Amino acid sequence: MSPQPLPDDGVQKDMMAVATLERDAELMLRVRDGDTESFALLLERHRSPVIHFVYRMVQNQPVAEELAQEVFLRVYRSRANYEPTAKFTTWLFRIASHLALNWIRDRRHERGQESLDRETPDGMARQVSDRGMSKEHAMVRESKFEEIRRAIHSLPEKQKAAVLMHKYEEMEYSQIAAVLECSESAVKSLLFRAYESLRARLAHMA
Amino acid sequence: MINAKMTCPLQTDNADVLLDYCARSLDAERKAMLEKHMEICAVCREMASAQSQIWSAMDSYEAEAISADFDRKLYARIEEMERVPAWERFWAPVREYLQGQPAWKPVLSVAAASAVFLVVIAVRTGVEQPMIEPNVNIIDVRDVEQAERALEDLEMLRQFDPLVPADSTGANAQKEVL
Repeated sequence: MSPQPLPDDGVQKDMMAVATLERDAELMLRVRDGDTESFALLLERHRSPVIHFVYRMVQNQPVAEELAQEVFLRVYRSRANYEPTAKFTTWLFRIASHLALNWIRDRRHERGQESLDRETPDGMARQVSDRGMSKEHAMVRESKFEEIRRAIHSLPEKQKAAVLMHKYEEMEYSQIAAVLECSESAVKSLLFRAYESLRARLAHMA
Repeated sequence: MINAKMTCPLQTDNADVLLDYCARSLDAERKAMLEKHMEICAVCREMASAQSQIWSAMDSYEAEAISADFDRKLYARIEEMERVPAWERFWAPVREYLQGQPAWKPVLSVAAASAVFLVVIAVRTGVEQPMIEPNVNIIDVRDVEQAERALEDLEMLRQFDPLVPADSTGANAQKEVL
């Protein structure tokens, strides 16, 4: 008997996506029924993506962690009413993006529209990670990081959220649209304008 | 082999094809079509090249390490939340909101609510008032005034026109002119 041919990359990716979707929904339904172990598993699966997304949005690690805790707290609080009608990650990132955008708005209001460009993230110099690289290499890397950070931070909030989900969370247009509660074509337009700005701002790095 | 030609994505509002190409998420068939198109389209070629460079440069924006006590803090918050009675959980966001607001904001809300209440009362009072009947006398007075004004105008015309006899009406005057 000849071996079954393996499905191609696209099909494999789709199958994995369906499996993940089902797994998340299944875990959340168990949480709804009072299984705290399943909540721990959901936290394990989504902790990093949520914190990293919020961190890149607010550019402040302690705040990002606090907001991410609020995200999971809200998920836990809403467990009784959970229905697997939408993708779990869509729901998760919708909460995360709302909290991050509200925090940015409140902060901007507090600071009287002062530009965050003037300071480094977290209000202090970012620590250069020591991974055996030379000091010069680390400095070049740090300066590149800083430019990228500033360029992303200069984007309008919705464009920034769309780019972060597209680039770092590898989300599809339809999912970004569901998170941002807009149409798929609006997301494509947001991304096009965002990357256009980034290309213009970071042209010297090319 | 792919023979189908691709229309320029930038001219047909399909720039997402180029974004997908740079993100390496385009399927094999469309990737081949785009690459064929880029052989003849310099604009798409340049955009794809610039976008690819930005795409890789963005990889350097790494997220920071997560605190070791993230889960512990989260579970502590969950435990604290579970201890709070249901009615308090419902009231807490409202109280937080009010505490976070400057003193004038609740005052403004109360003032706005009072204004709406007063407008509603005023409208209701207005509706309950009896309708005012049209004043027929006023209309009559206006008619009399118009008639008087017309007679005065005729009198003025008589004074200026020597052909119109002092005692004749407008109709007689017209006959005499003819």
